[in-house]
Amino acid sequence: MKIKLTNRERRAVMASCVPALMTALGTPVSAMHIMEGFLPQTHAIVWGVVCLPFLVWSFLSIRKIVSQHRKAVLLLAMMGAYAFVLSALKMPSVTGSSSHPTGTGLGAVLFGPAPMALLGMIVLLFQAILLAHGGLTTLGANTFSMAIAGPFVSFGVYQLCKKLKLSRLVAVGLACGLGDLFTYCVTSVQLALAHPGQAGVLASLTEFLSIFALTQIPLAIVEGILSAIVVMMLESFAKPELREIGYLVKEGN
Amino acid sequence: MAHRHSHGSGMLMLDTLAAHSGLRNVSPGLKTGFCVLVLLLCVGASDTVVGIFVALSMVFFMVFLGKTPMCHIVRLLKIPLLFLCVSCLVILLEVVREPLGLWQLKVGSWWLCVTSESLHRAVTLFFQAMGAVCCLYALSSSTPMPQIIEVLRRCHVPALVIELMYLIYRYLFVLLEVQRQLTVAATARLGYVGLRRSVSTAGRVSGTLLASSFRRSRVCFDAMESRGYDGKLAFLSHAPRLRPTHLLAAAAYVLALLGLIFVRKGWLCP
Repeated sequence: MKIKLTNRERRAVMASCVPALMTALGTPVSAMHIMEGFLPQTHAIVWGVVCLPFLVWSFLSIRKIVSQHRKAVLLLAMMGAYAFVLSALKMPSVTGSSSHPTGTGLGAVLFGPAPMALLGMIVLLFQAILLAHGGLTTLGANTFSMAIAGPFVSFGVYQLCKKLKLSRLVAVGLACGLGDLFTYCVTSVQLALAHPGQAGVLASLTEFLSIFALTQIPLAIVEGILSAIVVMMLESFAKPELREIGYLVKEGN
Repeated sequence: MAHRHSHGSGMLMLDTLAAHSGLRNVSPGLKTGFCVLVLLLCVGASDTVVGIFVALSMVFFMVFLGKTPMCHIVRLLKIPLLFLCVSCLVILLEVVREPLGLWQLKVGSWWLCVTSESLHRAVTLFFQAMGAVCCLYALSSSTPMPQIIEVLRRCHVPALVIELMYLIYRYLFVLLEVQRQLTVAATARLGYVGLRRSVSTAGRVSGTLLASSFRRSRVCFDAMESRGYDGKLAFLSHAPRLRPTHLLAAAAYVLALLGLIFVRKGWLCP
């Protein structure tokens, strides 16, 4: 059943797409949490199972950190609450929407990727229940993209930059920006795998990637700059704490 | 647009609603179990009618049993609606080489098409997600977070995780308040005028926030240790008890939902 459109009608359809696109530009894709109920059951379960080994590993690592110094539990809790509060941060308006940074990349740079998995999951649970960002059935998928994949990339990039002897601020900025970008790619892959069109997974992947790129690429750049400023502030105001968590150990200053 | 609620009290609207809910005297274990079960059924069924049924009944619960004002529910429902519309649009439109289906639009050498299959998928997904979101709202607008954490503790989630959850929940309010004050101060000094300056202000605000929260954590630890903290947070919990009538009502609803799913899937003989 094909509907023939005249040129004029086609133009009308094109024009009617504009508001839709504008909405796309202005949507609260809010750090790319997949919303509640958006993933089919099997996908929800599989992503949860994929997260499980990371969470166990994360739990063991947190237990080890805490048994070595008890104060760390409060620092970790502060970092978790901080990641949550970042979602309330008044952000420079990017493409009309005020999206927010994830904060897990910064956490991975400061604490390493291991504790961030569990911490990120708790924060995501809180965001789902208190803010309705993300959801319970999509908790596994969101944890994987935001609390496991992103922090790992951030941490890797940060270590690499350190090896290359880049300045620390550049390293932090790159690490957090790329971590954010990777989170968005993983989320797009998850969405495309869950809802492939007739043209297959790849076609819908490009669709999701290109629609969300509108908000996520500027956001990633902003998150990189922000994280660099945050670390700069921390170095001038919170040196003892940074030394305590092992971020400033080897510099000896 | 979802983040216009950048001030503390508006941010945690759900938390406030939960504290005032008419359902706060129902056992939190029952509410959590019930909502999670209905959520799983709704997502598992993946059906338009089931989604609409769950969404409407959950809104009904919130309004008539939870006594949550309708205007708040509408405001809450707006948050996911935009994400949902865009994502459903992506699923609705297929990008293919040749035109097919109900509606098509040529873009360059590609065609944007709507097929009956993609239309069906997008509509089903929309209502499935709406049902699930309403279910989540029913849980979070009726059960305060500490009670949910208490339920998790009884499910044998490790003590360290429970402790972290309590601490994070507590610090949320502290940090949100500090963040609000910092943002107001920065705004009053024209810190958010222009993109360049607002990026730098946002960075400074979040940097100060993290530095002060790290410092605060040390003070907190000293305070807690001086009161005998040795790695175990003990709270008095007085959770409402489970009542048979509530259990029966929940069971009846789940049975009705199961019946509806069976009918829709055609598993019952006609």
